[in-house]
Amino acid sequence: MRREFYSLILCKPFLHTIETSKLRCTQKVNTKNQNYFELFDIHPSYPVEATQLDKAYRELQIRFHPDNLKPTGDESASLEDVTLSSLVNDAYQTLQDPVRCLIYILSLNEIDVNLEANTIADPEFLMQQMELREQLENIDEQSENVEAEIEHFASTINQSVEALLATIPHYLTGLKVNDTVKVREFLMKLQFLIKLQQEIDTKLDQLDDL
Amino acid sequence: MALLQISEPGQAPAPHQRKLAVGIDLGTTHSLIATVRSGKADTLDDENNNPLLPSVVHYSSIEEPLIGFDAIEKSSSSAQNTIFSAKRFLGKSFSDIQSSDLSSLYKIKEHNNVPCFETTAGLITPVETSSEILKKLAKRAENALEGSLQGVVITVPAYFDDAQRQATKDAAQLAGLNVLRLINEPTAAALAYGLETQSDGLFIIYDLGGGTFDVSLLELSKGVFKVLSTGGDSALGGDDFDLAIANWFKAESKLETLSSRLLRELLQESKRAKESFTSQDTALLSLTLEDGSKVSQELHIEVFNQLIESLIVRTLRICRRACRDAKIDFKQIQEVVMVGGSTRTQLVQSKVAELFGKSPLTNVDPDRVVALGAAIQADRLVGNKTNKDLLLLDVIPLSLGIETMGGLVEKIIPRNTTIPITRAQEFTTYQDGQTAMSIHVVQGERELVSDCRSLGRFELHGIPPMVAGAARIKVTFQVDADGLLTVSANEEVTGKESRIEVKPSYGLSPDVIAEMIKASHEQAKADMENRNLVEQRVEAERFALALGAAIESDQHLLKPSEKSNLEAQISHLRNLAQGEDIKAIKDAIKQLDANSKHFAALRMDDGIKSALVGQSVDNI
Repeated sequence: MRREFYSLILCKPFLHTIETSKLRCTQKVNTKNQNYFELFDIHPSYPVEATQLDKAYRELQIRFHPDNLKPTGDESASLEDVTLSSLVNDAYQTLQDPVRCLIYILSLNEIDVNLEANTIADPEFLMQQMELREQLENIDEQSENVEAEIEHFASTINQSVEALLATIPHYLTGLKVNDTVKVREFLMKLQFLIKLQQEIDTKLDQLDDL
Repeated sequence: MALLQISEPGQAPAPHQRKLAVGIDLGTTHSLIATVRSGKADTLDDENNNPLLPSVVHYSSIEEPLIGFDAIEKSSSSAQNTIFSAKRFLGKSFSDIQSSDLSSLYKIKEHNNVPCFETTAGLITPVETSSEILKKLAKRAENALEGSLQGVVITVPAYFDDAQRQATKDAAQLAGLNVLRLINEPTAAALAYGLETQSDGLFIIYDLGGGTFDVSLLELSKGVFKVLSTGGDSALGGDDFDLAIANWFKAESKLETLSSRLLRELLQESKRAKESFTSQDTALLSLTLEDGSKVSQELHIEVFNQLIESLIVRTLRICRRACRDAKIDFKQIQEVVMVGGSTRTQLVQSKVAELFGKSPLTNVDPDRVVALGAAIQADRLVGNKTNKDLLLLDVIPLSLGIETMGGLVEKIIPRNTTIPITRAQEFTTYQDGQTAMSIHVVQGERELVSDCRSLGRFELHGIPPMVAGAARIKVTFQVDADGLLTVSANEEVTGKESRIEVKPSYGLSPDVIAEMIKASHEQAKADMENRNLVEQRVEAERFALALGAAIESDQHLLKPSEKSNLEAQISHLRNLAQGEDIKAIKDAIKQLDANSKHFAALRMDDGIKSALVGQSVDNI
C-alpha cells in the first residue's frame, strides 16, 4: 500500500537545482547531471506525486529496459542500456520511498544526514523505544493467536510512523540550509521506528518458518 | 479470456522472415520446449507427441549420452551413470551437496571446487548434464522448425540464487545456445495466461512442482508487469505428498525399513494413488515384499488430505510472506494462477481458493504453462513482435551483500529489488597503511555471513597507504536483467582507480566454460571415433566368424598351407580388433577379404558343381 501524504511543493530557493537540459524523448539521458526529479520530468515535491511518478517511470523503463533494446548483439551497447535502466529503477525506488526520498532531497540541498555519526539526545524517546522492543519480544510465540497479537502491535507502530511522516512537509518548509540538527534528530527517530517495523516482519517470517 | 495473443491479419511476418526463437522450461523432473508459430505459442513434441522430456541423462563409456526416456530405460541397470534431477545440483558447491540428502544419490566427487558426478564417461558436472538436456531439446526444435535457433529464453525458479542462475546460463552456453534472457518461472506463467490483456491489478502465481514451491506477486499497470515480491521453498513439492503417503503406508502396515528398491516401488505406488484422487475418493496401494508376501492398504481422500495439509499450509505461509513483503492484502489480489503438476491436487486448489477468497485459474495445462510463457517472451525479445508496450520487470529473490567486520552481512541490494539495478556503498580501511582489501560477496537474508550463501571472494589491491578510515572504497553491485551479479570496487579519495570486477559464480570461470565447449567438440570427435571403432570391431568379428565357418565346412577345397595361412590371418585380425587402431583393423579386414577371394571363388565353383550333380542337361 502506498502511503498517502498531503502534497507539498518545495519552494524553489530551497531545492538546490542543477543546471541541466530537460529530458526529451529523443534526447539521450544525461545521467551525470540530472537529479531524479529531472530524470522523470516531475516537479520536486514532498511527498512525490505518485501517479505522475509511476507514469514517468513506466515510460522511461519501456524506452530503456534491455528487453526493448534487444537484439543488437553489441555487448557494449547492452551494457549502456543496463546502466540506464538501472538508474531509472534506482531513481524510482528512491523517490517512492518516503524516507529515502527525504534523505535524497536533503542531499540535493547539500544537507548530509550522516546518521551513523549521530546519537539521539531525547531520553524520553529512547526509553519509549526500549519499551516497544520489550513488548515485541514478550509476545509469546507459543500462544494461540500470536499472529494477531503481532499484527496488532504492528498496526500501532505503523500509525506512529505515519504520524511522523505526516510532519515531514512541516519540517521542510521552515528549514534553512544549515539547519540540520533538527532534521537529523527527526530522521533518527523515524529510522528507529522503521527498524522496529522490520523486526516485526522478521518475527512474522520466523513464525512462518516454524 | 484470451489465452494467447493472435496476430492481426497482415501483421504477422511471413514465416521465412521470422527469427526462430524458443522458450525452454528446464525442469527438475522434466523439461519442455515451446515456440510461437502463427501467433500462437505451442510446445514442440517428440516423435510420440509427448511434450515432456524427462530431465534424465545416461552416460556410457563408448556412446554419446542418452537423454530422456532412453536414459530412464538404462537407469535400473546402471544407476550411477544415470543422472536424475541435475537441476538440484546446479550452482551448488561440493559442501552444499555433502550436507544435503542429494549426496546419497550419486557418487559425487569434487573437481576444481565443483561437484561432479562420477560416471563411466568420467567426471560430469551438473552444468554439463543440464546442457545435454538443452541440446536435445534444441535439436528437437531445429528439426521441427527447419532452421537454426536465433535465441532462447530459459526459465529458472524465482528463488534461484545468483550461482544457480549463472550455472543455468553456463549450461546454455555449453549447449551452443544464445540466451536472450533468463526469466522466472512464475513470470513466464503469467505471460502464458495472457494476464497482460486483463485490467490492471495484482496477480499471484502459485507454482507447486515435483520438488519445489515458488510464488510471485505481480502488479500489472498499463502494459508493465512488475514483480513485487517472490518467495519459495526449494525443498517442498509434490514428491513430499508421495513421501507422506509412503510413510503412512509403512506405519499402517507396520513396516520398519524397506530396501531402496521397495521404497522406490512404494513411492511410485504412492504417486499413482495421489494422482488417482483427482477423479476418485479412494485408492488401493499394494506392495509385494521381498519374501513374496503382499501388503495392501486402502487410502481415503480424507486421510490423504490430512497427510498433506501441513505441507500445503507451509506454501500458504510463503504466500502470506510474499504479500507482506509487497505490503499488500490478500483481498486486493485480482487473480490467482496455478502452475505445476502438483496444483492438480484438490486440496491445494481449495486451500488456495480459501486463502485468497477466489477460485484460482487452472485452464492452461500446468505442466506446459511455463514453457509457453517462455516462448512468448522469446518471440518478443528476438524481435518478432514490435509491440513495446509489454514490459516485464523482475526482481532479485534474495538480498545481496558483503561481509563486514565480525562476520556480519552488510546488505547492498535488498531482496525484491527491481532489476536491472546498480547500487554502490562506501567502505573504508581499518588499519593504517592498509593497501589491500578482501571483498566477500554473499546472498541471503540472515545477519551472519556463515548463514548466507557465499557467492565469491576477491581482493582489491593498490589502495594508496593512508591512515585507517581515510580510504574510501566504493563497492558497486550491478545486477543485470537476467538477475546476474557483477561486483566492482575502486578507491575514491586519491582518484586512483584500482578497480576489479568479479562475476561471482560457482567454480566455473569463463575460461573453464570455453575449455569445456572446446572439449565437447573434441568429445564429439572422440565419440565419432569410438563409434567407428566399435563398428570396425563388429565387422572384423563378423568377417572372422563367417570365414572360419566357411573354412570349417569346405576345407577340402584348400591346400593345408592355404588353410593355415587363412587361419593365421583370422587370428591376426582378431588380435587387432582387441586394440584401438581403427585403420589397422579396417586394413586387415580388406587384406583378408582380398586374400580369401580365391577360396571364395573355389567355394562358388564347388557349390555350382554340387548343385549340378545328378541333374540332366534338360533340367538346367
